[in-house]
Amino acid sequence: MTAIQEEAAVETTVATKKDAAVQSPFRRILSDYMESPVAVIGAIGVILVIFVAVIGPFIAPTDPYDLASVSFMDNLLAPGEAMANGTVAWLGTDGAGRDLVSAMIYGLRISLGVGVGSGVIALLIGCTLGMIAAYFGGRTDMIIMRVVDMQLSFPAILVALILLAVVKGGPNEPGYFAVFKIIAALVVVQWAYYARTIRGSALVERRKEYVEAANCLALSNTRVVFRHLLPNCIAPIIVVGTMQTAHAISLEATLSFLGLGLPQTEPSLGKLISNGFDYVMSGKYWITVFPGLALLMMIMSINLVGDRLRDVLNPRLQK
Amino acid sequence: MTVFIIRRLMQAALVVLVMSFLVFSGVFLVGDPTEILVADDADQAERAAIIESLGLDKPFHVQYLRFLTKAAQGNLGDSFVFNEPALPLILDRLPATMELAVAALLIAVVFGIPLGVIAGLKPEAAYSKVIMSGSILGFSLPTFWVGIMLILLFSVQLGWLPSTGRGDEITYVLGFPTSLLTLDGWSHVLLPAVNLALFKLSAVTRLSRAGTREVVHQDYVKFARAKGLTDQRVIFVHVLKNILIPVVTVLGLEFGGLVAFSVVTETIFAWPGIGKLLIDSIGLLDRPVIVAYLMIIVLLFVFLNLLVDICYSLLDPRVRLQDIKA
Amino acid sequence: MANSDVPTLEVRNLQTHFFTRAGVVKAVDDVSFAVRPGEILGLVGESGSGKTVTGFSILGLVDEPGRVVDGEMLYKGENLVNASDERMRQLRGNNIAMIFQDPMMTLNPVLRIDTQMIEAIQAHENVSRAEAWERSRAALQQVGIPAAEERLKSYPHQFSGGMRQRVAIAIALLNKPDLIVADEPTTALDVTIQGQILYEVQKLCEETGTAMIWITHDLSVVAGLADEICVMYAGRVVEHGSVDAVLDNPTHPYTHGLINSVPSRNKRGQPLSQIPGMTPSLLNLPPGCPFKTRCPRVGPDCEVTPEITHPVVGRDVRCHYPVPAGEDAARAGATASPEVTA
Repeated sequence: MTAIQEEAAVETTVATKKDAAVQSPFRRILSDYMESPVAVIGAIGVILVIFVAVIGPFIAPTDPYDLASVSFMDNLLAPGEAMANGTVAWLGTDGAGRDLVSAMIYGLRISLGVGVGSGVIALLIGCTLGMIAAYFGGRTDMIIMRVVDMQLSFPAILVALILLAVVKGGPNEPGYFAVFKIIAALVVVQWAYYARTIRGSALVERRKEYVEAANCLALSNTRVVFRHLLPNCIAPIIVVGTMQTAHAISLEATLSFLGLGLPQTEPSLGKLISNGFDYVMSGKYWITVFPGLALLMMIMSINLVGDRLRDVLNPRLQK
Repeated sequence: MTVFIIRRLMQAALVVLVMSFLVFSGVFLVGDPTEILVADDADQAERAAIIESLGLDKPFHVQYLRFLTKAAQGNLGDSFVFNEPALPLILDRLPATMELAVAALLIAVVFGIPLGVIAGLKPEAAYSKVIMSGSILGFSLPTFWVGIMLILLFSVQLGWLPSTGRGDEITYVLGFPTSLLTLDGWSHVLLPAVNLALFKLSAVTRLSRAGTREVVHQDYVKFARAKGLTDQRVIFVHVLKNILIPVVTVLGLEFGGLVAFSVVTETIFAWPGIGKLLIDSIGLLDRPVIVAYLMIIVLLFVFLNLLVDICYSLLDPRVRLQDIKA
Repeated sequence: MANSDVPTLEVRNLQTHFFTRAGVVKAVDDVSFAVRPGEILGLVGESGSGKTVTGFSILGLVDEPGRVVDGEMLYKGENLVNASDERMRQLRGNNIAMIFQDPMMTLNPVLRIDTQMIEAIQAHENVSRAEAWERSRAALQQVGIPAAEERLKSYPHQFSGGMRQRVAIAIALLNKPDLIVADEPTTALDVTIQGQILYEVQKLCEETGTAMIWITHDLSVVAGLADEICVMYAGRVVEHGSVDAVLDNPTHPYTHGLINSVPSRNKRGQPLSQIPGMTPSLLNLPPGCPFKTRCPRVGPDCEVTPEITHPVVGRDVRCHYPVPAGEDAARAGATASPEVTA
């Protein structure tokens, strides 16, 4: 490489990865992505879930948490039956007489919020620590990665379970506190994945010539990390991020089902299913089936998107 | 070999010690068992007597040291709830969990490896895409929900299989109770095992597919074909033996995950294993049982890791035990 | 050298194309040659010229999305293009063997050498394990591996690169094939090891009458080893003739350039010659002669794909403007044709 080429490489860090493509990288990724019909369905699913979660309160037939509008007389109505106030419960009602459609829309909001919220916090913490480990190396790297390894050698569910068991509060604990605790537990089990991912790709990038060139130009550490290293580690982070969000949503549902997640006052989809479990033996399937399907659709859509992104963003697979 | 194992055992002991400290201090710091143990109408004196009898009035380091000394003697404390030693409580239930986990692992391997190899040999074929989409479905399905659906379908609607417990026909093999020897036992274990296996089945399928895709393009596979070997011989000997290495490694490490996830499955199917015991103990803040469970799990993980390394060196001649980073 | 009327293998107008999403890649495009018993044919070209794909086509080992689309490959008169999968399997390793380029990659790392040798015998003959083992041992000894009994129990990683290639050659020889396709088997090895292996291969062909197709990019190897030479460029044979004649008197400008690109002792001090530019992408190759963009003798006719002509007796050349016989090969590359300098 000549000096001029090196400078050019420093200026166009992202472009170095792409071969002389005429298309912009985004357009290329998009068109690659669109080639898989299943992945397109997944993307539509994700958009739909986000849409429902955002405008939920406006489209829900009833407000399941407005105690005045919930009547115990309506409990365990089968799908399609009308409630006392005349509204048709298309997917039936649960044990407390809440319209299941409305409960699911609100539950979806909570599930998605907890999943994405914990994912974002874990991403920020994990990426920061991973970047620090990769950039400074040596003892810092060793300590951070030891913790990561130890954490990752235990299954996420077990770690979360024990954490929540340890901080288990009494029955009178306020709802927002429970939400905070579950988010914290999900952050603890997730951050290590991000740290490992970003450290891995940052170490690969760090050895490349353009970073050396940037260091030779005496650019500041922060500048090298944020302008040069980070943009080149985005692809694996996006992939891990989608998969981890799906995992976090699933984990939250599981913990709520086991009674260690969200309380009755903040029922996520997992809690709805858990409530419905009591009625399974009597054949009242709808309370578990429908929230479960919604949960499955949400997780599956995110996973389909993540799976496709991994193929599309992986430079090794590009021809 | 011996040196390697001794070194690993010493490291394992260190890990167990560190974990015991973390677990004990975690459980010590938060959560007050007296709230549950002591009756609401008990007066101060009764309360103090109970606290003292359990040693809960002592400072942290005294309690921890006492815990360690007893632990070394195989005594992990008495369950607050059952009023009997925690360790036998767990060991009694361990075989049930192991049986479930092994059955699930078998299902994952027996179905996952062939599916993955099939999908890996012809990645562009329609059936391969179905398998891969199916595997995404597999790891998207929340385990607990699938469990409920299985009960709903096979127990409630069709009435084919029982939904709870291990059945009554427990036989003893070498002193270990198992329900895998009778038809009734199998009917009980089938649903929970399938439930527990689904997630791992997807993982094994994807792993086998990735391995197959990588291996079939290696020169040695082409050379094997150039020798005039039949396709069966190429796939079952040359390809399979190579992809087994990553699969066995991951499976060994993930077996711990199966044991952990059995918490969910055991809760749904009322399977009398350690997972259900853990959930019950968490609900009742039965501290010694939680601690004992974690210690057993840590030991199990350490043991599994060792086992995986040994298997690894047996499968891959390039790896000698001494070389594995301990 | 043994010569007979029926060639061991005769390839006629072979076309192997890869049907990728981006378009059709004509990796092998109308290739013809023949090898007779005991004869060594050198298949020379740069990487991407289609020489390896030609080799795989002969063994029926072209992977998806590639396919032999046209032509004939007559093995002792039997057309391999129409042969069933099972027939091809029977021929592979038994009648036609192949040696690969990278000895570090050709042996399965998790199987012992004896397993890999015995299975090669038992795939074709119903013999006992003991007998197959004995033949494997003999084959190892034949290629100069000491302590063959011990070595059979080893795994590939316990061998050096040169030793592994000897094992691969021993495996190729196990069933005494009539034809061996050797794909750059010495490229990855040290020069001295290369010399040893070349010597043994040459001796073998002479002794057993095995025909061999030696694929390489190294002209000096071909010069010392082969009887005939095929020079390939962009999927086509551009020049074909006896080794001495072609190397002394190349008529295709590409062969010229290739010979001049070899740094040799007597040209020391002078600037080295080179062929400008790069091998063209085989994807949607423009019409006409594929070498026209790099050719010093390019002319108006080159827009039309050249047919095979015979400017010299016993020579096939695909060029509209072949280098006249007798023109100094060493200088031809440097002196460009009048059309270009004008």
